[in-house]
Amino acid sequence: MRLALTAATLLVSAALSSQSFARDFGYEKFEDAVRAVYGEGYGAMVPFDDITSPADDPTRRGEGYPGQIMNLAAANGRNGGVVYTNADVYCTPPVSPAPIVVGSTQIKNWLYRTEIGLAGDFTVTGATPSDVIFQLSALDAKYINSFGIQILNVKRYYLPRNDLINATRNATAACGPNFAYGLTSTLVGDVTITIAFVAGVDSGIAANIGQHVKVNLKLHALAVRGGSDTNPLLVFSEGPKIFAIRAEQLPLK
Amino acid sequence: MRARSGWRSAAALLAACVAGAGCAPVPTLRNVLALHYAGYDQVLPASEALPNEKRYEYLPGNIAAFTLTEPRNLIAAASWSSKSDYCSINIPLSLFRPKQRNATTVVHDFDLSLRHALGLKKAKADLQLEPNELEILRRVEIRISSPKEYSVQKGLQPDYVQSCLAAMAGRTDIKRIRAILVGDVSIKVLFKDNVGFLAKTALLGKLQSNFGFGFLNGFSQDMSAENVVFAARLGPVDRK
Repeated sequence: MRLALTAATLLVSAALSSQSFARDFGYEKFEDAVRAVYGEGYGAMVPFDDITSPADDPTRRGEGYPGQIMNLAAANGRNGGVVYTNADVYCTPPVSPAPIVVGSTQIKNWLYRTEIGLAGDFTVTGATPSDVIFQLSALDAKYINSFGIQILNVKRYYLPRNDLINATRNATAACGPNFAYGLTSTLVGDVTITIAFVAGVDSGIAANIGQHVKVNLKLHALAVRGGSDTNPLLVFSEGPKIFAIRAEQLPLK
Repeated sequence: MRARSGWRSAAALLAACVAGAGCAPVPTLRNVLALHYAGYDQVLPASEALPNEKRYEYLPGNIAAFTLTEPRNLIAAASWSSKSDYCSINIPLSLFRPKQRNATTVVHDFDLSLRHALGLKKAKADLQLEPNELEILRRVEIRISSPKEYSVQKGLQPDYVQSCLAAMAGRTDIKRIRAILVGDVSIKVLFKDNVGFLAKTALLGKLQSNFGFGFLNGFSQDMSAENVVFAARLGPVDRK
């Protein structure tokens, strides 16, 4: 059983490391905002992930509660932060402690202008054709002018150090040593993503890209169309979602 | 000849400063703290104050790990990032006796300043904006209302978890939170007329980072946070 788990973990790690070669320029920039607003140590989460509300999950078995152990791929942000890619591989301690939940800063009016040239090539130094923008390839991203992100009703979940150490230690004892990170804090909020297309984009292309965004970013709600015929917008709005976390390599000390 | 003209410009700038306009820094939360709440530094992430949670992160007396993100200088408080590694004093805020502090409003009016003569560089440095971005700003206002100071009190007996203190012992990044400021913070940004939506949106996003403070509530250009811990006084761990 343990051998199977180890093999599975190695496979996940291999998959994560191959993904990590593709940079996500949108998330890299979003991480800059996360770090500036919430302080050092918080890394953006790719993709934004669902979390059950504490009321619907009283024993905190769902993903995203501090004290859980998990496997993540970590990549550098544009200016020194960390971007975490979630693999949905996690384990909870037998008794998951109730986090402290506080209101925190909203992300308002954050705008990312697509870093892509007229020929459809990324304009970021060191970019490769396999890189992405908010998980969209250059083939899709060249039709997009900007991504706007707004995150309201932001809550921060966290625990004192002694609770974190106990929880991660218990989780490791219960689930085995094949987890790399302990989750120490989570930022959750209602996310609205507004995609502004370049002028004159075909409505079929816009709809197709909307579908890609929905799948790649694990969104459930249908996009709302806005803007004008020549400058269409797609707006995705749903929550609560995990948009950033703090994680530390195990064991926590 | 060049040196002489340099001195002349400096003298002109100084004279203009003495005359009263343009020298005041464009307000950021760090400026406001340095000028009106001496000894306090900014702490990130900003956090709603919880009155009845004895494990709360920013309780006076907590032993907590911080990273210095911006050092203190003459006109700006330091900025610290909490690492969310801390040992709680385990006394809820509601048991502390807060002290009322003075409310503060700081306004920087770009049109009334000597922006073109000397304010441009200053404002650019304070807000970390480009000249073309500064051109669309008319006014920045920071208002702090109902500020209350909670500080370590002798009558309250700390109830630390010993294993937590043991885990933190010996670390060089830990501090004792001596006091915190809790209040309502509002930041208003007024744009010039005829500024487009995209330009406003892009600049507001940048300003949110550059003010060093985000917003718990708020609508477009009027951003506010209520009952928020907006500053803390940090000291060495061994000083009770």
